[in-house]
Amino acid sequence: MARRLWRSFDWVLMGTAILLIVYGIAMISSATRGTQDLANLWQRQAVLAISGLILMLLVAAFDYRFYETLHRPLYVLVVVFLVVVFAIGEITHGAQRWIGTNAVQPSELAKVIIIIGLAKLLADHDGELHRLRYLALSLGYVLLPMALIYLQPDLGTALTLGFIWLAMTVMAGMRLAHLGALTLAGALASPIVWLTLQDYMRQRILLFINPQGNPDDYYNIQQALISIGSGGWLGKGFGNGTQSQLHFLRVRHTDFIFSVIGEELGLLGVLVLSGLFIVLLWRILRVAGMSQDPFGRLICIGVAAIIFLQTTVNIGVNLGLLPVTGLPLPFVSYGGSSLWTFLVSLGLVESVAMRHKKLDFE
Amino acid sequence: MAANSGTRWRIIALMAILSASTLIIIGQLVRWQILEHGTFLALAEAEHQAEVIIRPRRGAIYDRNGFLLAADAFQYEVSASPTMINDPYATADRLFPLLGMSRDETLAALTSEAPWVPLSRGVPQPLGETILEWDITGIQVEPRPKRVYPAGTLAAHLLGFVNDNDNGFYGVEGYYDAMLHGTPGLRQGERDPFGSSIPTGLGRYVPPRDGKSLGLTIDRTAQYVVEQELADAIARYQAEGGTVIVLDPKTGAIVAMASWPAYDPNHFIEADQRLFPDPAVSEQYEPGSVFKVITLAAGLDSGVITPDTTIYDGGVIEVGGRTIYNWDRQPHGTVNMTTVLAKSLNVGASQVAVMLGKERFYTYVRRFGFGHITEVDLDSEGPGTLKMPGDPDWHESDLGTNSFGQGIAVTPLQMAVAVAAIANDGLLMKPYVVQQIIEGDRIRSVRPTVVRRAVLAQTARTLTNMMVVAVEQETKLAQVPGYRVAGKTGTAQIPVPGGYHPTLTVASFVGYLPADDPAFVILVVIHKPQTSPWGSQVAAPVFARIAQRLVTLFDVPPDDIRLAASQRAGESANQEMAAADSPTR
Repeated sequence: MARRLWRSFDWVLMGTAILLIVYGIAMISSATRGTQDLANLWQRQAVLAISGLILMLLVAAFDYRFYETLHRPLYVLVVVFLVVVFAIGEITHGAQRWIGTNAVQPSELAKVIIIIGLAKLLADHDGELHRLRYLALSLGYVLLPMALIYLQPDLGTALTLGFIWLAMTVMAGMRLAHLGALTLAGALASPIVWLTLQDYMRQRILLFINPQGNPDDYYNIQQALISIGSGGWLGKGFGNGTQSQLHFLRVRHTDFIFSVIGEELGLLGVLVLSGLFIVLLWRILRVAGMSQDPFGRLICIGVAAIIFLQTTVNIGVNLGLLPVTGLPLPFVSYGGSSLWTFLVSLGLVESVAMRHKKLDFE
Repeated sequence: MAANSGTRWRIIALMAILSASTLIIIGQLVRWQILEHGTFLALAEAEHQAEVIIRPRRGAIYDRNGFLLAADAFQYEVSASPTMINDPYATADRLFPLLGMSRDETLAALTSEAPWVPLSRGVPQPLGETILEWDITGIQVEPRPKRVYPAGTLAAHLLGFVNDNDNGFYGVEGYYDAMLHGTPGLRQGERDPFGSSIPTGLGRYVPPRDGKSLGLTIDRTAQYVVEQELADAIARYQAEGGTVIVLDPKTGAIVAMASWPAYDPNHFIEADQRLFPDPAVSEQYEPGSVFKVITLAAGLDSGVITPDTTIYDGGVIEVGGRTIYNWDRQPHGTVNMTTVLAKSLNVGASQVAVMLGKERFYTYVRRFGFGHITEVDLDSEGPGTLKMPGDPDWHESDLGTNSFGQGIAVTPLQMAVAVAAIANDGLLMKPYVVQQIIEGDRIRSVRPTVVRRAVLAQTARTLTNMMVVAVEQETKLAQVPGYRVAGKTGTAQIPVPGGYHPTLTVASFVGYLPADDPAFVILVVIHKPQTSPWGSQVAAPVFARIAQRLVTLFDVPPDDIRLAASQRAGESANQEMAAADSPTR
């Protein structure tokens, strides 16, 4: 059985992901080599990538329908984690996104588990999503973890969960009228949301509207633009970006890695990167189309949604199109939690891909 | 299936969103990277290309014997980049005792949001080097020069001071600022966001040209003697302040010049700003009877009087509608000019001025340099106040009062320089304090400058003899055993709105010795003495004490020994000496 299963494994998908990771590790090493404390980060990222890839294969080896049976305890686990993190944050009076020493970031874990849970919930009510009560049910399912993450406070990840829900429900059959009503409700609720926003979140949004408002945040965006803009067609060459190498660009190995690529490898390097992401999304949506059951299809849609969202938002921030959110660039930015999340997500997609043929039922 | 009805538009919408996002991103990329590439490239260049100004070393200041009076030492400037500091609490604990700041202040600076905060500009050298050795990430330690005056308050007014930006103010530091400062150099290179330059070996390099050093005419020991005697006198007479100037009359070189109260230029920031201007050149006072020397010089030089010309002193005279009395309000009868000077008779001096007429009187006053700055090489010099006939505030009566030093204000240096002209056979010299400009191995000497002939040599010698008699007869406190002293006292009332202060005076004495071949002109001005108002009681003894110590210090032999020696040397040698004495004539 195993051999036949692996024949359906999407090697192009995994290869694209590996190319993105390698691209990322190269840029991390370039961005950090002038800083002693950070100089070995690319090696750590490489180790994380290898372990993450093994994890991905492990996730893919199990039938995705097995995860279906686990969705309830997993959901409970995530909610408990988020409550604990929130409680620690309250006690220490600071933003708390981790448990232990940077080990687990539950909000990253939440993304994957919400995709599984939501896919199960929507698949159970396949064909009934035009009814408001099922739509409301699914919304309630996401709102609880969303609220807990929002309170951490981490607006970016909370909005990511919201977007996953929106993408999955729309693809599962949400009515156009409901979508319109929801948009309207969102617009009406936004003043209330504004009032509950943390100061730093408001500042970031205000900064986006009026960039001169905060010199410190303005600096980051301005430096990103200068880095990208001064790159030109072919860039200044790997390791030769003046803005990144001389540290004008801050958080250059994480949130602003895209700017480093833009500066050192130019428009060409950025187009190669974009091309890799497009191939990645195409391969995931292809699996969605091949899938025999709504659960598998929705998992793929959820994974595609999250990769698409984070990529677009991260690049948008780097290009000054969106307010600073702190979302990393999938597979490329430095950071273990994020990398593992996306590799586990790809593992789920691969699991669906491996079992898309009815023949495999034995 | 119900979902199937809408599946088509859903997929179309999905593709549309994907394509739109991709297009927007690529559009923006093309805009920044291709269309506006030039602008951003320029911005990037501007950010990391730095021109570093290299400070030149400021020149030192030495006294006439090469003793150091001012020089640059090193201090450290400590600043922090708070975002780079790992443990601000521990860092603050280590740093604050060395920075001279409180722990809270230091911690506040280290935990601030700013990308860069200055901590201290003046950390002493050993402490700065300790911090440098600790090599704490996020703490920058940069050497910067600190002006040091090893002798503290000595010659403070004359030297001036230098601020943190290496700009000199007042005195020599102010006047010669450009020369001492030097020319900054330039290094172009790359820099990081904290402003530190990154040596790349590329870019333009212009080395700095260090400032020139200066050798002064001041003698450190003479300056010390003068300051000590002045401070003692001010304490002894319970005076408010005072000034002493010692000039070499043959050259105009300032040997010592001091005013009290003074300040320490090492700590000028803590000093009272009113102490910064040098009273010797920046402040004016009414000279009083000392000015009679100028009046009599004018009278003798123009042939209006001789030392033996007699006048009748009825104790009172009217000039321009104003009644002038003698200081003692007594008539002195028929007196000659030597007595007018010795007894300091206002009525006699006024009569000489009237005999001269305003044209000739003021011509001589100006020839002695009054009403104009002396052009000494010191900062913020004032011209005094001289009203001239034709000026709206000049009155006929001023001819009378000016003749004995009222209604005219002079700087102490103007007065000293004018009397030095009489000591120098009538030649007015430009006073100066810098005699050597030192640039590396090259030393340029400053030559004395003759301003003009104020009076004939014969006039000067005649007047000198009258001034010797004046001291011998009426100002015995100014005498120095073994030396003939020429001099004149002054006791000036202090002008206040609507007249003169009833009791307070400026007591002064100006004199020189040895009278026939003067080595020094010494002016002593004491402001508001309380034990006695008279120049003869307050200023003359200070003159004598300083003169006594200076002749010892500079090895000026007593008159009898000197004259005996020169007689033996013979006629021809005498002529050679006379020629060598006055190379500038």
